[in-house]
Amino acid sequence: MKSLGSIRRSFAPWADPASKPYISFESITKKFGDFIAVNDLSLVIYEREFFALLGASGCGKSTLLRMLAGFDEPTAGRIMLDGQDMRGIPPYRRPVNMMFQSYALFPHMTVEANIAFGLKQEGMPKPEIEKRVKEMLELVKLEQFSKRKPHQLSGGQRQRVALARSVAKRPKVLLLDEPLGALDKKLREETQFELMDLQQELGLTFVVVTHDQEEAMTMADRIAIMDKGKVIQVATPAEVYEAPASRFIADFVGTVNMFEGKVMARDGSSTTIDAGNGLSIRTDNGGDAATGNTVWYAVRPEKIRVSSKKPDDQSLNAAEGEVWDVAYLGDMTVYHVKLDDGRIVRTSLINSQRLTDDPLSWNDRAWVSFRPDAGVVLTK
Amino acid sequence: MGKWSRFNISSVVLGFAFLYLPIVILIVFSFNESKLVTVWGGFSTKWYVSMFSNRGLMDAAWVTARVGVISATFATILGTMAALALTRYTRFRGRVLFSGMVFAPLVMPEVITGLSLLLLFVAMGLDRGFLTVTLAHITFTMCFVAVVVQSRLITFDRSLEEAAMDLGATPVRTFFAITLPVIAPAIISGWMLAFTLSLDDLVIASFTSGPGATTLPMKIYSQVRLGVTPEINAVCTLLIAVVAVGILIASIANKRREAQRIVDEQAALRN
Amino acid sequence: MQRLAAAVASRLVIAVPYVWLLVFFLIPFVIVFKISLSQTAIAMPPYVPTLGFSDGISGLFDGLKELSADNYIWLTEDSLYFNAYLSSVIIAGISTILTLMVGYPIAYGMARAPTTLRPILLMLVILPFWTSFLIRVYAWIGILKPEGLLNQLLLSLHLIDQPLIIMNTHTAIFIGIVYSYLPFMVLPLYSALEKMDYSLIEAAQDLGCRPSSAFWKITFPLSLPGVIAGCLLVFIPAVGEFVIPDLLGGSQTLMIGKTLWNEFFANRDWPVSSAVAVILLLLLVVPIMIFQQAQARAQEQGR
Repeated sequence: MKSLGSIRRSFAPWADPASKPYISFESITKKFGDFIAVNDLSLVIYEREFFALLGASGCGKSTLLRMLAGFDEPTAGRIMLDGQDMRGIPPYRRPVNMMFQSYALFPHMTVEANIAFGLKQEGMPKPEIEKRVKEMLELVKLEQFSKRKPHQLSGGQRQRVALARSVAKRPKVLLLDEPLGALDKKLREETQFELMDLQQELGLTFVVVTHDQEEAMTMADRIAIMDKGKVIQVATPAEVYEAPASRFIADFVGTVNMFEGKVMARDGSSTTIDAGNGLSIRTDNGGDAATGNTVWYAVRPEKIRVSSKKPDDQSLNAAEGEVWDVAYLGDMTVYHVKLDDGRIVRTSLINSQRLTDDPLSWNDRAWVSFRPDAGVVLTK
Repeated sequence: MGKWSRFNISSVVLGFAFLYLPIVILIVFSFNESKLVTVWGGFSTKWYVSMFSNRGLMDAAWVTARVGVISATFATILGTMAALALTRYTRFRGRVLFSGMVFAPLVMPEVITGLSLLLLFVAMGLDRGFLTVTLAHITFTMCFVAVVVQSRLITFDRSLEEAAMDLGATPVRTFFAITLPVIAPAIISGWMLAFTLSLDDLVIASFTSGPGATTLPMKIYSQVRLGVTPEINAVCTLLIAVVAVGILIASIANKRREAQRIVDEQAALRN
Repeated sequence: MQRLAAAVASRLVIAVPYVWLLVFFLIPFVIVFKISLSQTAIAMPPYVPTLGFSDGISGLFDGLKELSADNYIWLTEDSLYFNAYLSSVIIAGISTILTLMVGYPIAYGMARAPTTLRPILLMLVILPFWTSFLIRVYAWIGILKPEGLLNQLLLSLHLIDQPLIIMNTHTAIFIGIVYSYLPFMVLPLYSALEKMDYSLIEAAQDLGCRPSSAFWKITFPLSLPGVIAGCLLVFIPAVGEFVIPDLLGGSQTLMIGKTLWNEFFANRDWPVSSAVAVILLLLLVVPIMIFQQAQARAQEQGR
């Protein structure tokens, strides 16, 4: 049996020019009075994708989701679903189902009745409804709670009922609005993988709205990062993390060290950046930046080594400083090193050995170093 | 919240004692042997017996019950509609006037309401009787229903309706399958409030009722001026008993249902 | 099709109660005003002119010309009415303050009770509603009269020598109003106090505030919306109260509700009672509007 990961790795319809988008937002704008929630946004999502809309509160991601579900109409632009224009089609006639952030379970109905609700609306015969409800209960492992009412369930159980209810009709597209927000950390991690398994098993297209970048990175095939009503970047988690399109994204997803500087020279594939105060960075990932331009060099903490001695390898970028802060997190240690010019560099080290060879402590002199391919050059 | 201090407990206990003292006296003296309401003459249930042969009293009680049920039902329908209108539709012509008319009867002195309604009935040429007193009761109790239902609607979670529509229910079906059942407790309390207010009303009924439609309060009032026998106490005690029994039955039925569900669940787990 | 059904439904939901209230609430006030401008007559209905179209448009205008403000002038000439209005406002005012003083500790105690107890306490406050208001007031006659239970108790405990005369005095009315309107004061107060976050008091005490001043500086101001709602719910109807002054107040006490009732039922003078009602309404317009504003504000906040 193939592992989930191997199936996912070969799944990349966005790279295939022959594949047609399943959902497409075409120049969507949404205004509430004078406030522009979504600003001329265009986006395509492919069938069977696990797609995440990531952004801070107020960026417009929930508004976009609601327009797809049919609760709000766009002020301008159109939404296409499986080749059909969704304009004017009310939510109860769209082949889309949504899992609400607050779960929105019907308090006066049992778990069974909640799950059966959508099936009743489409006129399914009773024996079939019973069969499907039983299936759904087994899917989310809540068989013995079928006769309970929502207020008699725990938070995690309610979430699973909401999930079962939203997939009971086997919709082509499932929308999830901050599905894991109300769960505690451990439960959240377990549920993330359950959701991914479910999506693969049922063969659905998932569109998830979240403000938690870890969630997006774990679950999604592709992530669209939104800010102030616009999409800043759409890419796979790896691309977003290792090749962010802008400083905003580099900073938004994970932590990053940012060095502002000027391109001094370009020599074949190698670019040299003067990052001020004598710090010179040589990088292979120069991109299109021309000499003399102001650029930002972004390098992730885990790509930076910290040691008490200056590294011998001359090809490495290196700088000297003092250990300003140490945070021991168990699986890794985070060092904040204050360079001699005052800038603080954040580095993290996986604790692959129980006792480290090179113990560093507060106020020790230290060298930070990283390879030429460790970071990326950003022009915006 | 914090501790329930002695001062708090005593104020609540004293407060409820003050509230219930006349009621307790009422019930106790309904069993009074003598005719007086202040001197205990011994235990007797004779007033409960004679109450049933008091034609005037029984007729009035029957009228009051009918007026109460009919007016409460219509008041609940109208009051719920008014509450829906006020919470769901934030902009329509004359909304301020509507809102004013819905809430004014809450505080309007009953003599004004009674007088104005009577004059209306006269102008309309309606003979005063069962119909007019029922119409009057519907009018002044519907605003209480509106207040109760409105406060429930304000806290109602709209995402429940969105979820229903998302699952394929049309707006009309969503209202009847989701909205109405969830606010049902508020609607029921509204009905009970309207029923109680109708049952209790003297002033408006005096203005708007007519021959053949004397309500219980009107009857009691006419006798109170002359001097009342503990028959009245018996009637009221019976009323209290009916209400208390009703509440008891409702809560027992609820507990039974809960216990049954737990038993069912245990059985399912063991399988 | 669905949209049509929804549109019709929404129009109905607004229109039906609206029309009902226009007919049965607003129009009656117009009629009261018109009658207040008429003269009394030995007829059915007992006033002239009776406006109608039976004599045509010109007949209608003739009738309109007969309207006059005589009744209002008469009301201002007889000091009885002015005194009645004044004493009604004063009695209602004092009763409201007393009700507040009695009701506040009860509501506060309820709001601080353990959460499991609260629904039961709430039920107990509402329960008296379901017993006849008339009879409960009547029961107080039995308690307050010279041979009544209160005097019997006090005499037997040798706390007094002579029975207290409470019946047929203003005091009896105060007791009656406080007793009858107590739930109207307790419920909004309880609702406001229950929502209050007790940690505010703890923070104040932590900063050195004594419990009594914490109450006046924090609790009371925060409960003010409930206080205002409760006071208005008691004061406004109390001004026009009839049953309590009639049963407990006797002939010495003058309240406008009784005056109106007597004008109507005893004197059969519909036009004068209407004029009394109109002036009473004008008196209460300002408090009623304050109440409406408070309601509207509560609506907004809840949204």
